[in-house]
Amino acid sequence: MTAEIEQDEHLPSALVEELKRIDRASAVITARVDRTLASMARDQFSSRQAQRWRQPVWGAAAACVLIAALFATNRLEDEVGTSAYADVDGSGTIDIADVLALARSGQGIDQGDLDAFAFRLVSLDGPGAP
Amino acid sequence: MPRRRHPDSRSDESLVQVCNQGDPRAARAAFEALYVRHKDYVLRVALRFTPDIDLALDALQDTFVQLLRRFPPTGGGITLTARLTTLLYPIARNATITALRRTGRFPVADDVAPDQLPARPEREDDDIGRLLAALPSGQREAITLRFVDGMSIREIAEALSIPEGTVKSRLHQGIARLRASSVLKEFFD
Repeated sequence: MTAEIEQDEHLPSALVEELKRIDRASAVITARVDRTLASMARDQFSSRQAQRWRQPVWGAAAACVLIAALFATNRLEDEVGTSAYADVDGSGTIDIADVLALARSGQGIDQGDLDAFAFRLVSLDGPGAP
Repeated sequence: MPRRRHPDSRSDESLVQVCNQGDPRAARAAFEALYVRHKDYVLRVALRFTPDIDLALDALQDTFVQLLRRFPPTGGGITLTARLTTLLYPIARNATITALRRTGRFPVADDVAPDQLPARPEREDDDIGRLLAALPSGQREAITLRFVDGMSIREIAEALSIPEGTVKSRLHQGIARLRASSVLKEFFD
């Protein structure tokens, strides 16, 4: 666009005021329109409430599943922690080094325990499998 | 809707956000605030195309019903990219044209060419009003949106779904006609 057009985009302020005067609505909005829209807005947003009501139910169900899963996991970890299958050498992982450390310690551990520990480490189901 | 003693001071953007995501009571209050703030504007837009007040009120109601339906759960919500009036204008304009068609006062067509828009007949003694009404409707619409509604070129383009160049062109031609009129000579001197 040229500078001429940009300049022509302006109208004298007195004329703009006249245009605004012409555009001014003298009509009054009836209470009927107000009431109709109020009613429709209530219906519209109330139906949102009905949908939202269902969300906590699903949320509670999901929370229950999560709690159950955590409980089961903790229980499994407790079982591992209280048995011979433990991080004996403190390396952060349970591996064959722990079997060797356990064998060296000789603290009430027999060959059956060591075999069971080693078997669990090489089992396809991994450590902690029954 | 009950009138609030004090107008809601929140921005349109905030109110729209509450309508999009707020709880039902807050969303209803926010919508009511939007309605109270913009209903006069929507009615003025409707009255630009018809002198029939009942028809204009129907268009007003239809405009806000359409706005309402855009909010969840019936709609996906509104993202304001410009002033709310930029969104309301085309809804109000089309609602008025639809109402005119319903009463057989405007031809039925899929698209309305800018120069086929209906114009409100002005009073005989209102020279400026008659001059404005005599402009091709595309030019009249651009001038009204720019100078009466205070929209920017970009907002007009968005409201009318046309390129900014077209808006500038219509403004240029419309203002040139106003300048050439002897009725408005005193304003341009």
